Amino acid sequence: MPKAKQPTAVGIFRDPESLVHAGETARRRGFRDLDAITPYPVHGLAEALGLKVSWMPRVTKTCFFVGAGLGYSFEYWTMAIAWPLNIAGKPFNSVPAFMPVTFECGILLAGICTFLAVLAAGRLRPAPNFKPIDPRLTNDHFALLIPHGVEGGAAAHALLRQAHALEVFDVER
Amino acid sequence: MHEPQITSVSDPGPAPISRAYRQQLWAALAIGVVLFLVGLKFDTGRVWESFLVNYFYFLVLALGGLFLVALEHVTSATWSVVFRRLAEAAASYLPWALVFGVALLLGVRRIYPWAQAGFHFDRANKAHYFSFPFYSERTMIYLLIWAFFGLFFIFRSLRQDREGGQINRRAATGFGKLPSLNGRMAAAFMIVFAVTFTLASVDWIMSLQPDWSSSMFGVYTFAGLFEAALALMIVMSVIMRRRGWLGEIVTDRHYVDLARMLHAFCIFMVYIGFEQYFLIWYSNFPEETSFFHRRIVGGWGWVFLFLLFAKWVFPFCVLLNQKVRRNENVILTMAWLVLIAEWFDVYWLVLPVHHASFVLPNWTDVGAFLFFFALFGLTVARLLRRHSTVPIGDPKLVNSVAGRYLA
Repeated sequence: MPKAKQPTAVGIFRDPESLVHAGETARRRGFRDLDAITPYPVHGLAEALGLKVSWMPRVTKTCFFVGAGLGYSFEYWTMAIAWPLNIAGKPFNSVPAFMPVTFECGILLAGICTFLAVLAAGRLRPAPNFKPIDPRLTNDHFALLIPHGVEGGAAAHALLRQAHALEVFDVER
Repeated sequence: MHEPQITSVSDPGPAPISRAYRQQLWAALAIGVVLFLVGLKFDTGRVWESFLVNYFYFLVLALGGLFLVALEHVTSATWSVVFRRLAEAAASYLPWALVFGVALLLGVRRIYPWAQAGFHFDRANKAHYFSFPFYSERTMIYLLIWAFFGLFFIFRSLRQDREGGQINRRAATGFGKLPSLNGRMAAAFMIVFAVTFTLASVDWIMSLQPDWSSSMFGVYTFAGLFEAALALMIVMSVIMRRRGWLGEIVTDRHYVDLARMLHAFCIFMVYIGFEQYFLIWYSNFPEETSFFHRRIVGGWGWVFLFLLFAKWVFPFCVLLNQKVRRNENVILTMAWLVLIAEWFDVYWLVLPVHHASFVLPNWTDVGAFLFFFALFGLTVARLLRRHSTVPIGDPKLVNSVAGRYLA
């Protein structure tokens, strides 16, 4: 369920360090639910913003084992139960020979499920009217988002300015 | 974790490696020489096998260091700059590898079946390839090439320490610009290294079983090399940082990067190892299966299993978890495990040729190990004692310390 919109201060930064630094300061001053938009993964940002470790790896891991299990079971069923073939005297259940397919099935399911889970978790869908906060955020600028409620706006703006943000403004988010 | 913007780094200076420590290494060296000479008298075949195992093992560590240096230059990487001096220190062993490569040639007749009188190859052209003069020439050429590249990168790095960023200022940035001299030399090294290391593995290890061949063998030894080199970087940097020899340069973040690489390349290792086993198992030709038959029956299979677990299962499962991967002790343990496993990998490649059933490493191995370990340790210590423990003149060092890997 989408959260109710609330006023959020946005600071645009030129470099990732100022962003991380500003995030740390904001958290020390008691702001919560911080978010950031960056063109690429920034080291130490998740820790600075106090983000929890993502649950996405668990999706990948679970789906890998399910996929690998299904792949192996299918091979076992076809090669050892449904239609056993003697191939060069190898056992019907030839574990080494089954490994590549098992592995690939695991990778396939893990990859597809992670992709779908990211789409679902990020609520990513076609949005023709979507307007980015700032198009530069997809290239070489970094944004820190501080949800500040009704009364914290001034403090959040001051904090971002102090941290050398290029621009500071408010959005409803 | 408050981290102000880092704009300069302070030089941690050379590592103050104590005299007592070096004396212990000299003593180990002397014990190694004595045990080797005693071994020559009493157990000539075995002593040369131990020599080959330990020579190859420490050569692999040194080459792994050189490979990491070249990889950094060829990709203009920033993340690994903080470790580069450690890799260079490992690579500074390469001239010694050249010297003891000559010594290895003295033992060729003792360990390689093809060098013994009356040996017939399954194919005639192999006999030309494995004639002793041609074999010696090849050995010298590989070692000369590696020593040249090793010294080239080390000397330029040390010069950069003194002269600052001037020496390599034409850095590779953007399309159409020529990469720096280091970058171009590193690219050349990559190609030369792929060929020479494959051929060297064939010459030194694969030719122990002259009738067997695997087109994957060079990749197999390379996978071990890279995994071991990353483990060595972890071990060296963790130990040196605990003693304060790396100053404020190396942080937890850098270990996480190395641990990630180790994790990735333990998968590469098992991929290559399994693939080689799988294809030979599947096609089931007698001349191909002889390699694994020798190395599985007679107790050698336990070593094989140990390699599977120590090079892949344990590091893979343990380093998979993000939180565990951040624990310095855990990654140090995994790195030691990988380094030990790499030694047993070489042991497992060499020993089964002349020993049908499993033999434990004995005093000849201890002697050869002590000798090469001491030589390697003294060479590494020599570089780190005389020069700063990080490439202080590299302009990328600041970004590497600050984690601005894409800057």
